[in-house]
Amino acid sequence: MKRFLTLVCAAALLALGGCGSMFSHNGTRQAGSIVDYLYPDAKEAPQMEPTVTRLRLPVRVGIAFVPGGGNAGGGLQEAAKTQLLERVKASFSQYDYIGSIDIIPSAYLRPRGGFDNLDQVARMFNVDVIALVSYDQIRFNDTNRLAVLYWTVVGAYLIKGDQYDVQTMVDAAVFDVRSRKLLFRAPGTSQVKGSSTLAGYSREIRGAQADGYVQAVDQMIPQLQTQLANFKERARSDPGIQVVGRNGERGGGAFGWLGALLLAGVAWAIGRRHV
Amino acid sequence: MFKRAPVSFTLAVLCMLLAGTGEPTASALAWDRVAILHGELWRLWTGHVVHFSASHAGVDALVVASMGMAAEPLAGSRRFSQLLGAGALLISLGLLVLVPGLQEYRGASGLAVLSAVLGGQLAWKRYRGSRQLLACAALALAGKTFWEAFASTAGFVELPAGVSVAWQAHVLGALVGGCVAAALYAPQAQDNRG
Repeated sequence: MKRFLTLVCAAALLALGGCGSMFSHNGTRQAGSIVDYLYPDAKEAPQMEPTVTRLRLPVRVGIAFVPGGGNAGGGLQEAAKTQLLERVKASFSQYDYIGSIDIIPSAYLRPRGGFDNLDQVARMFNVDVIALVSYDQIRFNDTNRLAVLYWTVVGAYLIKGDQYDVQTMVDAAVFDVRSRKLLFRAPGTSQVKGSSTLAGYSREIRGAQADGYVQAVDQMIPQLQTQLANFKERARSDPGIQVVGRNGERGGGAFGWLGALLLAGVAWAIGRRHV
Repeated sequence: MFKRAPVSFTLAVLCMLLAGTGEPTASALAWDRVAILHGELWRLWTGHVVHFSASHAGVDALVVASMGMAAEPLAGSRRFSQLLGAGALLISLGLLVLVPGLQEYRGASGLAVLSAVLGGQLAWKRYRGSRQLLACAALALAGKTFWEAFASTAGFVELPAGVSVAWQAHVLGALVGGCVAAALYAPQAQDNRG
């Protein structure tokens, strides 16, 4: 009988100890890749045409997260994306050569849409330059030795037996839409580590992931400002980049369909009478 | 149509083909003040065959073809092609000098107006019975140009947002077309032809 009770207790301990393994110990990932978005079907390196990049000041800038997603929990939420992009926008609003910065919601960017989609969005929002923010966040989960106390049930609420490690990378790549050239880029990274109780794990990990993005974007913003300053210097000496004032107009010779049809009618009438 | 006005037809087809090649090509060929001043002289000609959109190209191609049908048979295809080449250069140089605010221009309408004025004047001399029709067309064209010049708004045109009608190109095209027609009907030219 004693042996039987010992076996039952051991089995119960093992079963309850399994609570500590409720969450996958593999990493989970959220990513939006700029290469997948801009070159969805590329099997070879894209051919670059030697074109001159012309920037009209003040530059109209669009900023957007690259469309993507993650497994399980899905990608970064739209509201969070907007908040992060607002931080970037606020840090660039003081430059007089930037005319406007428009935050482009992810719904306007088609996954694997390529440069055609980028052209459409640029026209829709009337921007010359788009900063595409790609992201890659990996979350690792582990349990520590304290997790064994989850079997007490109360331990699941009091003992921090789950550990997480959230590593985030964001990268802003600034493209001139017309020439499709990458003007400059700036990365930002962060690592958020912590531990949590079993009961509060979901809430904690969501917060850690959000913090990961915030910290990475905070690290990216000064890098972006540095790269922008470098680009300004480069634009002065690089013959492939021309910066002009926006007071120059864009003009098109045009008649409109009505005018064209009237003139075609006149030509047809004269031809019919005399030829 | 190709038989009657091969140069105009080819120009119209070229406009449509280039409209299908996308923005990078159009951008590389457009009349662009900075690029021309940096030595990209081909833009003085190629700016007249690229457009801002397929619709814009379609309208201009239709006018180029229809006006060419009127002007090219009267002027002769070979001479007409030379006139278009020289006219494109003169319109481009005129825009460069006379419209300093213009940064970029695309469109075949300058050449179309050149053809229209040339063809109209030649037809005026030759086809007396169509003078009323020609006068109405000339008035309509002049009225449209005046409206665009002084009202600063374009009526019924196919241009994207941020692009205005470069009416100056139309005026320059009309001037070149008018001068060429006058030269063709100058006494000496008539003697040479006779």
